[in-house]
Amino acid sequence: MTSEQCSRGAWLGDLLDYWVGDLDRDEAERVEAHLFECSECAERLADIATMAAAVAEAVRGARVQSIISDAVLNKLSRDGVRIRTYAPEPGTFIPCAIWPEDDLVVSRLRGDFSGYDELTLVLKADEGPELSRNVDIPLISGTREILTATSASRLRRLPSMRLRLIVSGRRGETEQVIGEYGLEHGGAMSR
Amino acid sequence: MLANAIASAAPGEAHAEETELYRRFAPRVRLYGLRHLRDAAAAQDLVQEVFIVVIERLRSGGIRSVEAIGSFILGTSRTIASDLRRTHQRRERLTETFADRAIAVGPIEPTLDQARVDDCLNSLPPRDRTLLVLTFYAEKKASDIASTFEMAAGAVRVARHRALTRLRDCVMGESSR
Repeated sequence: MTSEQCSRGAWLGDLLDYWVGDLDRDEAERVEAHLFECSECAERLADIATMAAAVAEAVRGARVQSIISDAVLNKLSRDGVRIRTYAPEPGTFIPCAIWPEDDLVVSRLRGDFSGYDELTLVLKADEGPELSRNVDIPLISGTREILTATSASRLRRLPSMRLRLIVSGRRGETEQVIGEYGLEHGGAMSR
Repeated sequence: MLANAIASAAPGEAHAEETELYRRFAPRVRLYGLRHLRDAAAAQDLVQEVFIVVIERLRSGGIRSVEAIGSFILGTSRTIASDLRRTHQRRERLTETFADRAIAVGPIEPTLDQARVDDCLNSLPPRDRTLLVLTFYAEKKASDIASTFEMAAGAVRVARHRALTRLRDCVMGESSR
């Protein structure tokens, strides 16, 4: 954003913390009092609120490709997003397809991903090029799976093909494949 | 000063000043409402109710320190929001019980190019993306996210701020720098 502090010295980071409810009561009230005196910060907060609403709308519209948690998945489901889930085992291919009613496709990739400095997720055609590469993906603690969400409309555009999701991990200078997960993508289906 | 002009004019005679006061402070009251009531319609109700009280009190000379009008508007917002929150909670319970939940989803803020936001969000580093999804969609606090990713809450706040800055810079382009 434009600068870290307003002309009266308030921190932009405090506005974000205020907006998402991460300040205690006294701190929040201090920020509120400032907001009603400082038009610059009021505009900045409006900016944050607008961006926050747009992010939520993008997620709710199933247009974001992201590593997610079960909490996000459950909220999407409650919001009426139609989710198709695949859980390929490492080293195997399973059939998959996108149906007209699907909004979001979630792959549950199981494995022991702990203890790495960095995890990378690659989507590639089985005998072809990489379609996407996500470096330094987050790992949810205490779980042995990665949930990756992809917009169904994006997958609908792919032709029928064999796809591989490859998770690799780096320890120091050493990179190793942790798991390869195969999807026999049948393309866009109709009923 | 606006509040002084309204307070010293005959009731209804300071129309331009009242309009200007509304223009300056209504967005802040609306944000306060969104932050505390989490509902756009309730926030708009708050704006209307707060300004009815503020203008009436200014016109009648009932505000002792018109210089501190921002403080008075904030205090009024807190009082009325507290009442509206109870009404809103009752309304939410009814909505959850009887209505299609998808219909209850809040409106999109109209001032951004949503397609550009989508593209920019998808172009962020994976950690930034997940952080923003957890914060603004799942409404997780820093402490929740910290335990999810085994990070310190302070580090989450810093990373979240950086992620939002990257997103905004992408959406707004060079003009925001």
